Amino acid sequence: MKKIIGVCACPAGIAHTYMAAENLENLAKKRGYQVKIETNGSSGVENSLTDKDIIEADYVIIAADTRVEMERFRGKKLIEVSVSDAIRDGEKIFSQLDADKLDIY
Amino acid sequence: MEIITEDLIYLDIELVSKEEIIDCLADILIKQNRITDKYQLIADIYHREEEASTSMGLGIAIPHTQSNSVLEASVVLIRLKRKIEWNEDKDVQIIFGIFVPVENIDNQHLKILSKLARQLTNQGFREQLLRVQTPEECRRQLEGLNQR
Repeated sequence: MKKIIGVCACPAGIAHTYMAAENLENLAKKRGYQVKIETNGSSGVENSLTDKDIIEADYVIIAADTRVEMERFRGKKLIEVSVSDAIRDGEKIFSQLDADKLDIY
Repeated sequence: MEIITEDLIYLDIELVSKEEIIDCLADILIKQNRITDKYQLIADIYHREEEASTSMGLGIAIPHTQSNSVLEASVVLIRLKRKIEWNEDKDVQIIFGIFVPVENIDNQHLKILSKLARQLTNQGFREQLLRVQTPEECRRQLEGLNQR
């Protein structure tokens, strides 16, 4: 089973961060991926990605409107989108993943 | 104090624009003694709206702010009689206003709000909110929010 990890973050960190995370998790599960999404919200970082998560991951999705700690993803196949894209156009993100069309970060 | 009460739920009201709604949210919060300054709150809501639209194409807008004027973490739910335009979206019928104080924030409240936000991505949950008949029924639907 392929594994997706991701990070969601938005300026206030009250609502959209979590909507994006939920949407990505659901779409990933529906497609049979293993998934773990870190949320950087107002209550801090939750569901933190570990080094092991990052090593094991096949794909990385960054859905953020604020700065995210990116160095840790060097060398991974990664896609960066806005929080809005993750909520509105989740399917589009996954069609790129399914086709294995991500650039290496 | 609970995050959402029946006094914070308004169903099938007639408001025609985003501006009217934001004004109405502030009025509701003043009436329930949950904010100190209507105009500061409105300014803070617009400040957040300018960063990015809080409507995400699900028929729901989520104007929100962490503001000095907020006394208690609060959710205001407005269901409109008719769909309106909210920035690029043309079909917004439910407004979830989320208001969080700047100081003395209860981390538990933030967790509750994140749970609500996650639920909003669920189509079944959204449909139930469109079906409820009374504020009481609506509050029950959102019950999980007040559980600590």
